[in-house]
Formats: sequence, structure tokens, C-alpha cells
Amino acid sequence: MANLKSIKRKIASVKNTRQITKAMKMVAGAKLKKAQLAMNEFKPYAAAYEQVVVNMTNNILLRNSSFFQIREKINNVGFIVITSDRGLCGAFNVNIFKEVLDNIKKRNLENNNTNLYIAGKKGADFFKRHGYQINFNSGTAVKKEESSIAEELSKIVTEDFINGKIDELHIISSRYFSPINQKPDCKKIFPFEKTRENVNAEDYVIEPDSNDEEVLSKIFNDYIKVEIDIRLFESNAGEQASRMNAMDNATRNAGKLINKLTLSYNKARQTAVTLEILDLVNGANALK
Amino acid sequence: MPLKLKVVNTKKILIESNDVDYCEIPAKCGIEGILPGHINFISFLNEGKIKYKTKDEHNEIDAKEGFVEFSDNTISILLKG
Repeated sequence: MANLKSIKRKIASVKNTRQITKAMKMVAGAKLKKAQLAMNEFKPYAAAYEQVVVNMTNNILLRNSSFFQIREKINNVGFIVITSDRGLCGAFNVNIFKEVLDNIKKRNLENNNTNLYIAGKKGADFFKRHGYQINFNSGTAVKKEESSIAEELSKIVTEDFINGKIDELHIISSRYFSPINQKPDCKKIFPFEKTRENVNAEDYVIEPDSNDEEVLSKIFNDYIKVEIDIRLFESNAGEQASRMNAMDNATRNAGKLINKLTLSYNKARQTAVTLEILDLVNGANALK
Repeated sequence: MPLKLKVVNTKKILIESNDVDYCEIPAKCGIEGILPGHINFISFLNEGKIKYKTKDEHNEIDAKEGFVEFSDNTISILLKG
């Protein structure tokens, strides 16, 4: 039987832990609300932008643009990976790593043919540890300046694709469906692909017409930025939701552990009391 | 067939209407009027007012920066900020 004092100490420590996880759950809940709001505000814009780009990619005559260049041999593949900065959020990051590794495996890529563009500290740490080539690492700033990261990232990936450093670009991040449902997802970005056969084969008039290449490349560049932005928002909301669930579980488990420990503490105390009484009775009997 | 008009900025949907008869946009190369059956076009916007007419109302909103895409009788206007 473990001694009373050590059980008592254990209970106190588990109680402390429970308090911390409870607080973390509350904090994550508050942050989730904020993140959800930001995400929902941005969603219609991103959806409208995507629709516009789909319309444009389905138009034959725009296909001379370098964004549509399908390379004959795909050697180098780029992945934008969006993870969180902090841990303690359940399987959130692990699921993303798994998706990335699966994608690398599926394409039989060597380490030096894989180009990673990473947003989020956890992702950077993981892939550095596993010896992958990291072309861009946003560091820790995901939370504060979402837009600037998207801007930087989109510029770099577009340059790398046009210069031929990468032949394909995918973005892997966690999509947010509900507070209890987030799934990692991989989407191809470069080269742009048409999604349906041409319905309106009419060409676009591009204004100002003197430099339509510039107009298009600005629109497409912005599209990449918007696409990264919405994913950063979704990833942030997903991270908070995931952390909230993880901390909820932890709080519940701590409660269970406290119950168990309290039971064994009471048992131990009872035994001690019984032994003491026995001692007293024996002592009294001896004196008779 | 009436036009579909959708105006969004990065915060919310500003206008979403399925029966617009006429729309006027402050495009980069001058104000552009759009009626159903207009040729597909893409253009950046200047600062100005987007005016549109539904069955019996005239409306307008301010536009600052962004671009417009027109195809399939659908006007998509994406504003910045």
C-alpha cells in the first residue's frame, strides 16, 4: 500500500494539471471564436476569387500564360505546408505531417527533389529533423501577420515555378469543417488546370489591353496569395479547435485520475486507522 | 436574361443579386456599362462608384481598388480591403 503522504502529493499535482488544462481549454475556446470569425469573414472573398480563376482557366485563349505550363517531366515538386506554431493540440500537426509524407511517398520523390515551403514552427522543426530541403520557412509569425506571410510565400513559389525550380506545386494544410472535424487536405496549385470543358469559348477582353500579361499575372499572383491566406485562417481556427478538444480530454482524464487516487487514498487511510485501533485494543488487553 | 452581380470584399459579401438589368463600373479605362450579353472581360477598377439597376431600383456603392471579371452573364467584382 502506497503511503498516505505520497498519494496526497500526487492528488495535489494532478489537480494542478487539471486546472492548467482547463484554463488552456478556455483560452483556446476564446481564440477559436476569434479565428472562426476572421475565417468566415474572408471565406466569401476567397470563394468568389476561386470561381473567377476557375472561369478564367477554362478559357482556352488565356493558356499561353506561364502559369499553365505543364512540364513534360516532373522532377521537382513543391509543397506548401501549413502547420501550427505550438503543440498541445492533439493530432493536428501529426495528421498534416502524415499527409505530406504520404504525398512524397506517392510520387516517389527523393529528399532533394522535394521542395518544402513551410509556415508554422512545428512543421519547420519536424522536416528539419527529418532532413528535408526547406526552401522557405516563415518562422513563428503565422499568428500575427498572416497577410504578410501569404504575400512572401506566394511571391517565392510563383518565382520558383516560373524559373523552373519546381514543376508542380501543392498546398497541404488542415481544412476546417467544424470544431470537431478538421482534415488535412492536399490541393494542386501549379500548373493551373482546367476543370471542365470549355462552355464559353469566347475570349476575354482584357483591360487595359496594352499589358494584358501584367493584368493576368497580377490576378493570378493575388489568387495564390488569397488561397494561402484562407488556408492560414482555416489552419489557425482548426488548431484552436483541436487544442480545445485535446485540453477537454486532458481535463476529463485528470478528473478520472483524481477519483482513482482519492479512492486509494481513502483505502490507505482506513487501513491506517484500523491498524491503530488494533494497536490500542492489543495494548489495553495486555494491561489487563 | 438578367445579369448576375456579385460584389465582395475581404470582409463580406456586399451585393449578391440575380436580376440586375444594367451595371456601371469604374474600370481602369473609363466607366464601363454592362448589359446582358456583354463580351467577356477582365479589368482593374479605378476609384469610383459601382451603379446597378434592378427591376425598379437604382443602387450604387463605392469602389476603391480591385478588379472585375465578366463571363456567362455574371459580373464578379472583387474589392480590396
